[in-house]
Amino acid sequence: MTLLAVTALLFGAGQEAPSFVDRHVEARLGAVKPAGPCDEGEFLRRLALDLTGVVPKVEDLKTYLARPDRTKEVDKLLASDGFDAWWARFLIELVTPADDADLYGWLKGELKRRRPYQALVRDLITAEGNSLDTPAVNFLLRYLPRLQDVTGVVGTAFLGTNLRCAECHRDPSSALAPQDFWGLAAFFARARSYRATAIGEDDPYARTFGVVEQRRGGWVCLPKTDSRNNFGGCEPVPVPPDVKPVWVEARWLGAAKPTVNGGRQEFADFLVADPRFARNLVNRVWARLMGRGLQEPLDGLGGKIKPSHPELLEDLAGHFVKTGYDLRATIRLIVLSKAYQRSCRSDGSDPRLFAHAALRPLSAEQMAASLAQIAGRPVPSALFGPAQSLRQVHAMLQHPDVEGLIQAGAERVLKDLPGPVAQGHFEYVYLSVLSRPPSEPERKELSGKTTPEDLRDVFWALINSLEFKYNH
Amino acid sequence: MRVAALLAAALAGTANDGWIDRHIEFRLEGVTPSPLCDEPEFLRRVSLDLAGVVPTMSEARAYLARPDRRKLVDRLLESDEFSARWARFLLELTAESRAISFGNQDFNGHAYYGWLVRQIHERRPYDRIVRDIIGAKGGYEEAPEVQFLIRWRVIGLGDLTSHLGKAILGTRLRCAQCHDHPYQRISQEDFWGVAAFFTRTREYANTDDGLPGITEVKQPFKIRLPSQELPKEGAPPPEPVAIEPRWLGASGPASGAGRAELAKSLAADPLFAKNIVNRLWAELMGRGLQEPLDGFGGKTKPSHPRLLDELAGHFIQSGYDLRATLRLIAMSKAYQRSCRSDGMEPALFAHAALRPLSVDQLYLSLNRATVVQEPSAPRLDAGSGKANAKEMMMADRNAASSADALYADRWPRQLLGDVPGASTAGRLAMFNRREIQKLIDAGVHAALKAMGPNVGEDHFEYITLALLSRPLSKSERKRVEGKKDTADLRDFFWAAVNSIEFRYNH
Amino acid sequence: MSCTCTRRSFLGMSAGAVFASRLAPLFGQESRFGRAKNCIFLYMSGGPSHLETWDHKEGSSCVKAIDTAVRGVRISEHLPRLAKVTDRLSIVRSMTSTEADHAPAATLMLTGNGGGASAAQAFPAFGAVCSKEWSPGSAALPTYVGVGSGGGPAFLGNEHGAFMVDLSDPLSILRPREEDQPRLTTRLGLLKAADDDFVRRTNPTTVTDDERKAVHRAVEMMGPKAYKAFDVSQENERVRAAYGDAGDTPSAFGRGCLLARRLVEHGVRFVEVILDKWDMHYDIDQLIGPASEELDAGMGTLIQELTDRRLLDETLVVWMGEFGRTPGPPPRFQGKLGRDHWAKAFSLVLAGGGVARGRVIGATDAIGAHVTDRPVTPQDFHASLYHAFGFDLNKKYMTLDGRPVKLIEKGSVVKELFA
Repeated sequence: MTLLAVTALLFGAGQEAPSFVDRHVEARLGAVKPAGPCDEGEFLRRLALDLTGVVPKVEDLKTYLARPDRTKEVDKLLASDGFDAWWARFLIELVTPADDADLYGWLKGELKRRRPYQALVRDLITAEGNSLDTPAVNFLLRYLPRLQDVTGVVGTAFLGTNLRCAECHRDPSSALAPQDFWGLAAFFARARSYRATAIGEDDPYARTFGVVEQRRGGWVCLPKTDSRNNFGGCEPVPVPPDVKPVWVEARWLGAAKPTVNGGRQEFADFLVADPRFARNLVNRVWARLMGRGLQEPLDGLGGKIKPSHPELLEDLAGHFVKTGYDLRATIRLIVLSKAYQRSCRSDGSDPRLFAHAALRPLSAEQMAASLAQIAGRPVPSALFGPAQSLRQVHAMLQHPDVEGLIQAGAERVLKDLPGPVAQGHFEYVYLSVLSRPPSEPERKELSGKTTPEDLRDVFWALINSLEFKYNH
Repeated sequence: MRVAALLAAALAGTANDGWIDRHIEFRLEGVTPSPLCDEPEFLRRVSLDLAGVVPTMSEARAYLARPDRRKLVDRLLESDEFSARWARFLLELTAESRAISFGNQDFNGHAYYGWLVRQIHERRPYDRIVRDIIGAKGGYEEAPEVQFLIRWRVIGLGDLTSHLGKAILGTRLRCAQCHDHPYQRISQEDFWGVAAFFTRTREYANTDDGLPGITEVKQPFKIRLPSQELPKEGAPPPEPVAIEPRWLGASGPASGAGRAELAKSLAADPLFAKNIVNRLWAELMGRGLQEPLDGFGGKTKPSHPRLLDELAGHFIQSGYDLRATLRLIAMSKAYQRSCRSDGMEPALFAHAALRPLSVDQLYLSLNRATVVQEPSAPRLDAGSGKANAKEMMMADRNAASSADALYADRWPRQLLGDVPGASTAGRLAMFNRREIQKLIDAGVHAALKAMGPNVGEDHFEYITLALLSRPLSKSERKRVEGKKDTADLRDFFWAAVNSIEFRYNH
Repeated sequence: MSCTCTRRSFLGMSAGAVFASRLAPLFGQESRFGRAKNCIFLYMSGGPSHLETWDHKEGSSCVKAIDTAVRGVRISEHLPRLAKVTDRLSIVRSMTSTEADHAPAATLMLTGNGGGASAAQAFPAFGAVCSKEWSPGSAALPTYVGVGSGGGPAFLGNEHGAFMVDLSDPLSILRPREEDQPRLTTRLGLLKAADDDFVRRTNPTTVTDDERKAVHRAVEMMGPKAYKAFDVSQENERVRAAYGDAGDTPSAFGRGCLLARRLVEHGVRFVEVILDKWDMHYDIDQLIGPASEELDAGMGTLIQELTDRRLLDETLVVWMGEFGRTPGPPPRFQGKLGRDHWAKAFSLVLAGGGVARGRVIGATDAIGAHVTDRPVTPQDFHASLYHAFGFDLNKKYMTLDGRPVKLIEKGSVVKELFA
């Protein structure tokens, strides 16, 4: 905690003190001239989308623009409920491809309580019990009993390393062998997933699952050497009779000796102690905020492609660990840096230099949340599909639900600003959708428009614009 | 007088504290008890009772040459057969199944039986065993004691609770399931208060192999109280209610209590020790001090209430050691009396009771006496402790499968009839079954091998030693005089196998 | 005939009851019918679906229905032989019970008394009651035979339990090996001598008396009478085929029915035969056909043969299961159609022994879920059995701990079966 205070003191007091982030970035710019800082409106929009997943409300925008204080705003958003909801989504997308309301709810709660990241990951890995009582088990339940899936996702999500290549053969790029892969998998061999037996239909535990840890175990059989290794209920692979089963005990990557009777507790210890654990998380946070990771691809740590800014990565990881694995502290560090706050005006420089802010499309959730806020009513994110997809474009252009949104949004403006349609209304629309007032040329274009239909047309045009659909 | 009695007792090798016999003799009130049984009778009786099988021929010969009852009892109490036989007793008591597999297909009697064998082998105190099976958690492969809850099915909470009452306390709680108990001070609320200790227990099934286990959850389930009446047409079924766990007679609910608390309350109940010593007494003596065995608190009172109390107290003080109580009973005069009776009332224990051999005792004894293929006792190595996890799980499986061979539940039952004791079907089975004939052939073959090809008196004595643990009687000698044929030997064997003397413990 | 009035039961009867029983022919109440002399239980273990056997429901059953010899009564298409003899049956469609788990439900249907595994008191199977109440048809034959299924005598005494028959080899238990047969007399002599010695040493007791009786009875059963009765091979091929006991996969149930008929002919009074294929949680549409075929061949032929041999009037045949199966159209689970246990409504069929012919008693709703008319409990069923055999429902027996109990406490006779 003291470290956090010190760090905050050193780096958070104001933008004046240059953080090591900027030093490292600037050191690699070379001859390239970086873009200047973005303006306040741009900053608030970018920050709100990145920290809370939704464009700023008109009132908040107006308040901020009246007396802009970037540091204060950052701290305010870091403490908001929107932050918990949005960054819980970051975490859940890390660990599972599908939606899981219980797990999401739990992650949100833990973020709110400011649970250190390593404790959270430890919980996910070692969770035991029924999914209703212990929502954290929903993570493992998605993958058990397929130990190869568990190992794969843990590698990608928490180590930033693609281990799956080594599942069946030696991986040339990482020099990992199946013995290594399955040695890791063996830590999970003691975990069994179960289906609860219901007591009657009104039993809350009917149709729930759970995870139980056996007391003994900690070994697996290499696949194709024993037909019993058919985790996940697939048809067992018939094994030729002369092949003997090869048993592998739980062993961390690169460890000389196996961990006898190793289980998930031991695995979690190894995991947290591995340098890639922190590096992976800060890399992904950087990627979220800056448009691309210091290490690309995101699961390429320790692979052939080296990070663009290795020292920055190291320092970020070290900082993260020193703060007690505080997610907010790392985010704060990054969003208060000059590198983050650059304008998106680019002159074609290499994106890996981070000389300017990247153009990042809004995700389906950000789209839905923002539109919901603008229109004043809920919007399903399923409407939108993945960013930049044809589906999203199509939906925005003519989906009847979107029409309804526009209608609702327009009505809201008219309600908040009663009276005939005038400049003020259009300004309101611009502020709520694009987080800026209309420019002079735009005002001229709007001068003749006075009907509610015009209002709706402008709405439609704005929400279909690139400017709205991108974070810039 | 006193000295003479003590001397006689010492000579008979029954030196003990004597308080069991004092209680028995006190109630005899003028009835003359039978004299003590002779050595061959004692040898056979105590081997069947403690080890579940007749002694081997060499054991019989050695003992009869130098009889020492105390030493014999001690040796039997330490044997592997003891663990196997008394695990069987606990299996029947807790799982109420003479068969290893029972109607509930999830119940794996083998694993559970193997676990019980180990508990007894390792001298685990009885109260610990009960606590383990009540509080069991985990998958059944690793924690076979969960089989107890799986066999009774947590869903069938009424049955589970009734059974706990019957097996652990020797009392008929079941009557209070649907209405207040007709003759004990147990209300329907009391019954379901006890049942409620299990409302957070759940069965589960592994998603990959479907094998069962037991776990605890946070929210207790609501109980649907049964009623005596058949549901009326159109009436909605009664709503399930949330019930707080509460031990019998406790004034308020045990807050936050789980199965561990239930096990403690059970062990602290005065009936806990009384019930088990009563059942141990019944196993050895043919009837309990309290009959029926689950009749505590009922209309019939124990025949020797103070003896029962003292036995219970002694059991508790020994640290709930089954062997301690069994040793005490086996070394008493009451146990060692001859079975000769003059119509004395069985409840006086003035003579040993005639008890039919159980199916397992018959099966094991027949095998042993005919030396065909002695099923191996469950593997009972003390456990090196260094074996890796895989080896340990394999060892458990081996113990269970040896137990399987030992108590393969179809083989003996089909062969020997379902009902121990007098039954026409049982007689026909033992008279005519091919498998029994084959056993007899094997026994005769063994006798010829041991005593030489020329049939003589020694061969017939081989048979009585093997089956009946005694030398030939005078009348038998007369009967077999001059018999020289293998066929005669076979006839004699057949008759001995089918005799009351062989098929009963006396 | 069968009025086994012991002094105790006579004293237990109120004057009114005595009076009523004298007027029985006038009122038809309280009289004990007592026409049945033999009984055959056909026990369909597992819980046979009523919707796919006797209580067809359009839109729910996954079998079609066919007409029977009784107009308006339709049953499963897979029971054609039984359809032909429906005019000799009484079909009770309105059985209802509270036990939906196999073991307690089976106990309830077979003994008329319920209980989970740790019931306060175990009650005797109905066959054991018959064995106790009747004098044995012949000393050389058991009174109560179980083919795959048979109940215990509880407190009635060991000798009244079912004599279990190994269907694959019913005869081997009745006779020793060829080479041992000539030795039998010598052996029995040696056995008697051994037991006499033992009794002399220990003094006779009830145990030794029972043992001697058992030996005596066993020796009787080793005679030619029992051997002949159990020797199914003496039946001709055509008859065996009719029962289903022929071909590549001979039906054990079929053979059991054939044996039941044969045993009854020779003097066995009570036979229980099991068909254990009805617990159709999955694949009910696949499994119902083969199971019904076995049932139809066995029971259909049995009823026909009993009729032909003039045994049906004095032999009560009961088709029973421990419960029915869930109503409505069967749901799919993991791609398979199945039904779960259902005790609220199920079927029971009786034939012979003086039971009414061609009758349907009770009804269920449109999907076979609840009884809409004339509910019959397992206790009512047992009360009716007592009535059919002329047993006294008020008679008390001593339990092992000395309590006098009635065997069927509740339950009233289903009069429609006998009117």
